[in-house]
Amino acid sequence: MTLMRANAVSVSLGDAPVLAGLDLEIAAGEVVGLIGPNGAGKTTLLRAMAGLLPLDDGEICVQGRPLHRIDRVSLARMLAYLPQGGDSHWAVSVETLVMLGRLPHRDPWHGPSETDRAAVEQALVACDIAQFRDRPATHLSGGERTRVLLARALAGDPGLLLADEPVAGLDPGHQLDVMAKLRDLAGAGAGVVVVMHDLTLAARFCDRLALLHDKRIAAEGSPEIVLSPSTLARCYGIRAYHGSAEGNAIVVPLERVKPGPGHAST
Amino acid sequence: MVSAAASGTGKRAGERAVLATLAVAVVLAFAASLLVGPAAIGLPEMLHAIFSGQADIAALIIREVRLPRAILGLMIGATLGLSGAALQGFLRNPLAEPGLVGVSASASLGAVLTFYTGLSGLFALALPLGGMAGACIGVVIVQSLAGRDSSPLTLILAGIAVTSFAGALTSLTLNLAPNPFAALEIMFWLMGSLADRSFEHVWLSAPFMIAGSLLLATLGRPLDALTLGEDAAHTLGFNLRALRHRLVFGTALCVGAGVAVTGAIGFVGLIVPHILRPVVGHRPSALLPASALGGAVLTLAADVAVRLLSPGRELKLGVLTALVGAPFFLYLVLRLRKQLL
Amino acid sequence: MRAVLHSKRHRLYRSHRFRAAIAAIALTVMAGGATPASAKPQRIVSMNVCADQLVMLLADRDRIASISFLAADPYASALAGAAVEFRLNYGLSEEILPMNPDLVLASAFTTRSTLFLLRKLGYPVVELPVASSLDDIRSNIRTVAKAIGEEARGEAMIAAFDAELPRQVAPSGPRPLAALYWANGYTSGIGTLANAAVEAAGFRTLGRQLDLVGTSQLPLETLLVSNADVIIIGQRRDGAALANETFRHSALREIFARRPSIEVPDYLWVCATPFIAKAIRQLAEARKALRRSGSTGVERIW
Repeated sequence: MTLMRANAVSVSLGDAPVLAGLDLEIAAGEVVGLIGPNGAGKTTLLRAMAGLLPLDDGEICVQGRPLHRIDRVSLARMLAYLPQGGDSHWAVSVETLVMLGRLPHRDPWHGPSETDRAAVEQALVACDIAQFRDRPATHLSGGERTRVLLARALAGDPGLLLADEPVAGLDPGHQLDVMAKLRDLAGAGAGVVVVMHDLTLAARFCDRLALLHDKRIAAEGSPEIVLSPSTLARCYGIRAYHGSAEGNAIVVPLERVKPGPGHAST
Repeated sequence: MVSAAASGTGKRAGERAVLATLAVAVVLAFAASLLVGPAAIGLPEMLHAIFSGQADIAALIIREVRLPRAILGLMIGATLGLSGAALQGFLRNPLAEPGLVGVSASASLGAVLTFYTGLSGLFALALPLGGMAGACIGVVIVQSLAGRDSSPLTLILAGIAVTSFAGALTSLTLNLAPNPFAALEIMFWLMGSLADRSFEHVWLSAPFMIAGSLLLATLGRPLDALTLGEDAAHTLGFNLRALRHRLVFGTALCVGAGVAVTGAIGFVGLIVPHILRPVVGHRPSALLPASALGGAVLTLAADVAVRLLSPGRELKLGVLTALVGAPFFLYLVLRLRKQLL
Repeated sequence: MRAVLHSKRHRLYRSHRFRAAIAAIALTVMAGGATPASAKPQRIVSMNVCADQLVMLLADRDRIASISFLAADPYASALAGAAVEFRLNYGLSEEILPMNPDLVLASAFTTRSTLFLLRKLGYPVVELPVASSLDDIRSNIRTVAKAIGEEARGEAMIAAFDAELPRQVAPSGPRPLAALYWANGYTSGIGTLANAAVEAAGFRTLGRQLDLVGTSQLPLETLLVSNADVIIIGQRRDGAALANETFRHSALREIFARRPSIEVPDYLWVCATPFIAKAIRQLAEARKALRRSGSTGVERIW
């Protein structure tokens, strides 16, 4: 089932076009890795899909309905957006912060319902942060903070999660934890779009990769196809070692190369 | 400060206890405001004055001088605390205060102009009405300067621009004042005071303050959502542009009406949310009612203090709040620095 | 403290003649009382230093419930010595209401909200306008006299005031140019009592020449280039150091060394009271002395 479809989407930041005629589909139950060089527009695409940016052209549909026709609260119930970094501005407790994820679902006139509490509890346990639920959200290590923010997103029980570099700055153990949580979410039927830079990790956890380059999706499909030497040379300008271990692709960047001949035209 | 409560219900009970404590403090401060003044009136006389229909001097003083003064202190303190908490939440900056959106300065200018033009001498309510007109013009300018953007930065810049310009025009008015006595009269008014306000001042400002407070009171959840930044708040289903409009208009209604009636009373809106934030577990939505109550307590207490500290020739309330507020703010800064080290 | 300040004021201006003049006014006033006592306000409260002095001069002592604290300030009030015997108020309604006044005298500078409250509660309030001419003094005296039911005393006071004024208001011969210069560099221009008094004493004033309206600042340079024949300065206050700083300016000291200067205490003309006649007389005498000495600008008088 298609959860989200971007159809010929063009987006500009200021006067500069960032995305031009981009197409992308996200299905339920899959983890899609959004990769691409710095400045390719990964965050812009994610923000456009979250309804945070106006489109110059094209259309983004969530569950078959155009994004701009869906009211804010309904959209907030359908999708969760996990911004990059994402510091807590106030020293609220971890539990309070995770409860924010329930805001779209909550009764406007009452405190949190039993359902809200149960969802928060579940998210706290799933992200392994229940033991410091009372700690101020401003006093967390990088790994703890990422898990708290993920728990906030999970508490809303989203059908679609848009996560912007959730594993940036994490040690390998925590990277594996977070990616595993995303897989679990997809396993429960949600669609996940995750922006990342670690190609091996992307290949290990994503069902599908979409490589953003030159304002559109330059390559899309299974990790083996997208991470081909020619594509890496053309889009990233690198030569990499390609191998495999326990059935997973391993990509180790080795050196910078000149962009391939197709660069200018695509 | 770490909340010790283990469960969500415990936390809510804790918040309720904080609000109840503050409410009791408001009642006590209100009573003190009725009891303290140059005319010595004891508690039994005071109660008698309020609840009997008699019209002796004591009753007159309680009902027509101290009661409106106490009610205004309560309302102005509450709206200052509330709008301070809302602005700090919206701007995610503990240094924000209600004057930031430019309404205080433009309300002051409007009031000062009624002095300057002599309008204030023609009819009694010209002064507060001038202040409100100033606040209205100020908020329209701030809103159009800030544009359709929902970012805090444009609001801060627009507020600073309007505040500086209104401040400059106020100085110009003082500069052009026909004589030193007129300038002095304006200066004294600018210092902010609740002395000798009547029920007309209450009736004039209350509708605006109540409307503004209602607008601000609905902002709890979007402000909570802003804890994680604008994008997060947006994707949690909140319209930040609407939030900013409600915030600016709510603050303008509250602060504009307050300044128009009493002159500018600083530091309450800055310090009260500051003090109470850790007490309510830093949650912006919980801070709104707590700051409203806390602002009322502080303002009423300060207004009692000006009457006790210098009987006869009262200190100006705005001078006292600044005198107490500035060192306290310094203390907060030092404490914050210690935490950061 | 108050005694010290008081004695300083006596130093120069409390001449016996001046006291005699006030006593004369007061005597005339006593004789004039004719209105039945019942119709007159019996608990008069004054909230303004100018009204204070008029009501002290016009009303019987026991009819005055309270006057403002400024009435006891020897720099602002000509009757500071007598004022300490009265109950002083700071202009707060809560002080005034327990006195249950049947007349409240105030001025255009009295706090608006307090006056509004008093009026609203039904207390008769009379506001004295700011006086800008000698005629305004007469009109303010009449206003207060009428309000307290002592019209005859008021007329007697005006007559005594007019008698005290120098006969020749427009003198023949040269009219020396006087520069009025107060603390903080202020001068009194057109529409101020001080300017009116100095002109009534036969001077031209720098304020009029420069078209300055009201009490406004006079740049030191303007004073230096003005060719003023005489500089009239205010009484220096003890304590107010910054305000007197202007007088320590070396350029100003130079002027004082070359031109005559006349020191006039503020309380003589800050309010619309008959005491201004005294100031006018002394200024007129100073002007004659200036003319007699032949060369304006070198001799120091007073």
